[in-house]
Order: sequence, then structure tokens, then C-alpha cells
Amino acid sequence: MALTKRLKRLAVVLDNDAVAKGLSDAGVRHGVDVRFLIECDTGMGRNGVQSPEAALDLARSVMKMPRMQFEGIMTFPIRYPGSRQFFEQALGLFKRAGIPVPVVSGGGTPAIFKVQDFPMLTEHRAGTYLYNDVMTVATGTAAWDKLRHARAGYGGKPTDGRRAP
Amino acid sequence: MQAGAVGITCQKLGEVEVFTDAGVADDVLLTFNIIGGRRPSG
Repeated sequence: MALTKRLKRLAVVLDNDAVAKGLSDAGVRHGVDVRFLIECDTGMGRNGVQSPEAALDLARSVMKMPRMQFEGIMTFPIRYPGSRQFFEQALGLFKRAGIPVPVVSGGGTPAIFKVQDFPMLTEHRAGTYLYNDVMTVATGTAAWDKLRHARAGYGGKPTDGRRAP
Repeated sequence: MQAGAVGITCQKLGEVEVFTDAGVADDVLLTFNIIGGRRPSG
């Protein structure tokens, strides 16, 4: 929260009430507004609400919390057309609810070459290109010889939906 | 930033601190769910 006072804008993402409550409490404690985006899981399978309806419900709920200011929605748009449909539906729901969505944030190094498939995005966040990893190789974005570092060590138990690349 | 970025994205509060201290950008998006009142010191 101290950082918020030093920047023109510091926004944060969230996908659940517990994180929102913690941010709201901190905002009240420090007397600063917290700008937030709803993180949406549009196919990556990491963080994020699981449906456009859940995005609207969470945004509405968090907007009622003290010091919380809704700014938009955020995802890693790596599924086509799944990610696009998710955001189209979500933006439709927000529009019908009368809630402006100024920021529609996409991200991920693989997706930056496909931003034309997601015309609703207002910004794109790419970062892995700096060093590249197994993910960027698996998605065809980088070749093995472009990796800054390579490290073996996938220790999780593979499942049908989750496997070592 | 010189090439025209509107701001930067960080995944951790520590990253935001470093980039803020260095004066790199005044518009930051923290793209991870942050929980907990205070980081353990040390």
C-alpha cells in the first residue's frame, strides 16, 4: 500500500473474495484506493475465475467492499476461440449490468503473436520472451537454443490434464 | 518504456518495489493474487 502512494497507478488482480477482502482491509488501513482487475481463466488452467458469469459476480461483490475500484478483466488469452468467447461474453454481461470495463488485459509471450484474434484487448503483457522457457518452446514461440537457462526438474505427478511438456 | 510501453507488469511485490525505487514506470499492474497483511521480514 505504501507503493501505491509512490506511483500514478498500481493495479492488482484477484480471482476470489478472500484476496479481495485482504486488499480492501489494507486499503482502508492505509487510506488508499485499490484498483483491481478480475483474473479470468480462459483456458490456461492456472489462476482465474472459471466463467464470464463468475467474473461479473465477483466484480459486483468486490465493488461493494471499501476502497476497491474495479478497472477491468485480465487473462492469458492462449485458447482460440475459447479465450475470445469468454471475454466477449464477459464484456456483454458487464455492459448489460452497466459496469464500464476500461481495461481488458491480455498477456503471455506466445499470445503476443496472436493479438489480432483478440480485438477487445486494451493492453498486452509479455515477459517470458526475456529468457524463454519450456512453455515458450512447447507453444512454438521459441526454439530450444533461444533459452537463457534450461533446467530439468518437473516433479509433479502427471495427470490426464496436466503433464510434463 | 522508451519504445512506448504504457507501464510495466510485475508478479511480486518485491518486483514492484525494485522498479519503483529505480523510477522505471509510474503505472504498474501486479498480476498475481496477493494475500497476507505483511511479508515476513529478513
